[in-house]
Amino acid sequence: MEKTENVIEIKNLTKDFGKFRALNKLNLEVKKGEVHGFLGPNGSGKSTTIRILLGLLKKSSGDVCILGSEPWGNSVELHKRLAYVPGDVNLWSNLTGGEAIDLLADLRGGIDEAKRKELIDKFSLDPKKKFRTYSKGNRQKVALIAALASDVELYILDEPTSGLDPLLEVVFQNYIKELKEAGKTVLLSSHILAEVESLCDRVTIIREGSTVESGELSNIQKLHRTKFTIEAKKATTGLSKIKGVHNLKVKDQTTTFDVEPEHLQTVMNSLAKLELKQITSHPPQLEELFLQYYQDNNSKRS
Amino acid sequence: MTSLKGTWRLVRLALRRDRIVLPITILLLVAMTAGSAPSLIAAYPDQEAKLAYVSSSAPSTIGRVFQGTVSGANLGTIMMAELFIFTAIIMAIASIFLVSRHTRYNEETGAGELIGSGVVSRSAPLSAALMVAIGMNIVLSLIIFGALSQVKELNTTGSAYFALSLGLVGIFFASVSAITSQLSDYRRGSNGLAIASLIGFFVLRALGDSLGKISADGLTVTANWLTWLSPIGWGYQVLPYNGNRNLPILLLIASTVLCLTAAFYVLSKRDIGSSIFASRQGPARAKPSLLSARGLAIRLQSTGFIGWSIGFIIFGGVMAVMANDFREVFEGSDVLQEFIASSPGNNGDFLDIMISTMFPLIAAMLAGYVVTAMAKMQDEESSGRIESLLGTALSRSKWFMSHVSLTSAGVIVNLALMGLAGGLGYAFASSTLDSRFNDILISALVSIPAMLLFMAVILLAYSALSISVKAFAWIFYGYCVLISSFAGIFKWPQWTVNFSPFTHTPGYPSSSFDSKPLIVMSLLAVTLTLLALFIFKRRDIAVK
Repeated sequence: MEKTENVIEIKNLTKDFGKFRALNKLNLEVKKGEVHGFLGPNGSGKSTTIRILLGLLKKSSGDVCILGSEPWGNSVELHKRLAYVPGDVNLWSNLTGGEAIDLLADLRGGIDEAKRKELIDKFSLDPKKKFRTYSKGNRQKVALIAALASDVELYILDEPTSGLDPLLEVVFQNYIKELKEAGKTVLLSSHILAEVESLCDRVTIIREGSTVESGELSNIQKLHRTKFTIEAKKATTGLSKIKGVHNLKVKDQTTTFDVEPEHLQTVMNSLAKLELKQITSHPPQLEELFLQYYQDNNSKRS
Repeated sequence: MTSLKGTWRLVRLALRRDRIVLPITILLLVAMTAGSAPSLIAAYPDQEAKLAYVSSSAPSTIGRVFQGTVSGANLGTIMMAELFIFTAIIMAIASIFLVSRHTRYNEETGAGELIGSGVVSRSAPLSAALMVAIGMNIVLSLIIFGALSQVKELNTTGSAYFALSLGLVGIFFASVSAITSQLSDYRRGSNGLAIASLIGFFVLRALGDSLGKISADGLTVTANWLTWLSPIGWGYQVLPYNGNRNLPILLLIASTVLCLTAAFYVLSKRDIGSSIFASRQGPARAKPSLLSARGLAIRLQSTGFIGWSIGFIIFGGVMAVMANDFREVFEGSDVLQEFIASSPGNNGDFLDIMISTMFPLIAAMLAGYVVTAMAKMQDEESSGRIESLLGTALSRSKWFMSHVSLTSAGVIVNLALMGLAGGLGYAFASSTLDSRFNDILISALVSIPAMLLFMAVILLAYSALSISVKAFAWIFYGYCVLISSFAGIFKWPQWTVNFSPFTHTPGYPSSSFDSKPLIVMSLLAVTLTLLALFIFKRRDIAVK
């Protein structure tokens, strides 16, 4: 594979579990120094992709390059340069949180003592409790602290904040911003779309094991339906017949609908005839983007 | 009745979850008890031999620690001495584990909360676990009774009392586990408390029996009052085949009811997931000794190792003490001497034959240690913890070998402990310290290659089948125990015997030391282990 600035480069990655195809020609590029959002509905293949990146699973076909090498067979050298937080944090029930943090960080190659202390303090974790007594959020904190206390080039975080409260979510976001300023790379799989919007430079959205969208968030938004809210003197129901108009809803005086980018001009022409009293439009939120894919996904299934 | 709402469904859930463990537990216990009747008949063919056994066992204060108060000379009372206490202990442990597995462990994992939110009464999970545990003990008692009633030489009423008192001891400890699973907030803590009570009751009975008074004819021992403080003691004091007493049965039932009442009372007062003893805090920092794959493996395996070590020590010691008793019997029995002399391939020394036959059999039974250690290893993968470990700079080989080397060391240490306990037990029982000490130690150590080969087969299955190895390991274990216990008696075809590594251990010291099978098994064990490692390095990690 040619030399690139990309920390992660996946091309046409396919993974079969027996007859089940978990990943189908998936593509993913993560540039050095960026925070990259990795999105997709449950079961779409995010964790499988991450596990292939870590060398825990073997790809069926395609190219995978992480930190300049193929992960399968090179995982030990690779793992010295990255930190991983699994989606489902399950550690040893009879070890304390503090012991688990020390063990994981040490196996990775060492721990930044000052950072460890600071993280435990900021995330308000009691390191003396046995792991089995922690709640879901506290379990995630243990894995997060072990990862963030390591000084590595790449951080792979698989839904790291799904159990954290909003206050700790802010703490988490601040640390990720800190990493970004320090020039580190982060691959962040998450369902918390507000988090992705505030942290990520670029996102990749996958569905059923294939990449459906990848790029800068602002660019992706440009490619998608714009949301309109209008008030008009004339009846607006006729708009639904125009090509490119979706989700038309009329409530009292207000009409809302989405417009595909290529049909914007036609729609604008029609709108002009309606004697508008008020009009607002905004680009789609990530959540709406995501739902579009998700609904397509569901309708395809049924 | 609303208080039982959902119980039946939970019983079915428990039976479904235990569909492998339960049959194997029952098989093992039936094999231990009913299965040994034929060998006892062979060992004590006439009244003379039986009298000799009892008159040598009864005065032995050390023997009484493990054999209880011998009373009367018939096949049944000899069976009581040889089997009752062990079988009762294993039934107690199985019952303890069963109850905590379906109560406290569910709460620990959070499944208990989910079950509790359904249309089930508060007491349903505990009721269901107890019903399964009581059911297991009843089934066991019935099978044991059924099998023993086929033995003509055993009095049927005695066999009924024998099976009943075993079952009641098991049920008593199920009710102890019902209490301890209210006291501790996690399964292992609960099991620890219950096992501690079991040890306590064992010690009380051992003291009481040792301090007992021997009758004028030397054939009956009356237990000291200390024995009457112990439910295991009550079980024995039913004295099946010689007395069939009802009072201890009533004591067992009454104390079980008392324990159950206490357990349900605490359950009705506490919150789901909470406990009477809160979890203690631990260290905020890891000790340097924990910070490696091996350090972690040691931490994870040590409790189980210690538990099994106690088993190896007790089995080794008891075996040697029993063998010494047997020898005294043997010296007084012409029939036995003829029998031994006519058996091929031995040096004619009864003690040697006993040790050579029994140690490989015990090794096969104690291979459960290997199964549990391998299960721990597999749990790391199936629980997903391995993902966090291998996500660090820890290599697959290092992780794999940390468990393999630790378990191998555990095998060697445990067999050495068994041999030492046997040697010392013999030295105490016979008051002589001679070359037999070395012989007994070696006869334990010769099982090392078979044990390692047994482990290698499980490892290979683990690597190749990735996740479903627990069932395989327990079935393979059950098979090996079955073969070691019965293949000889029932003359099963040779090929069935060959599949168990334990049958290839040479019978030292009764035959001369034959290193060939040991070398072959060792080489095979190393090869299979390396093959397992080779496969493990090249397969997907099984993830949820």
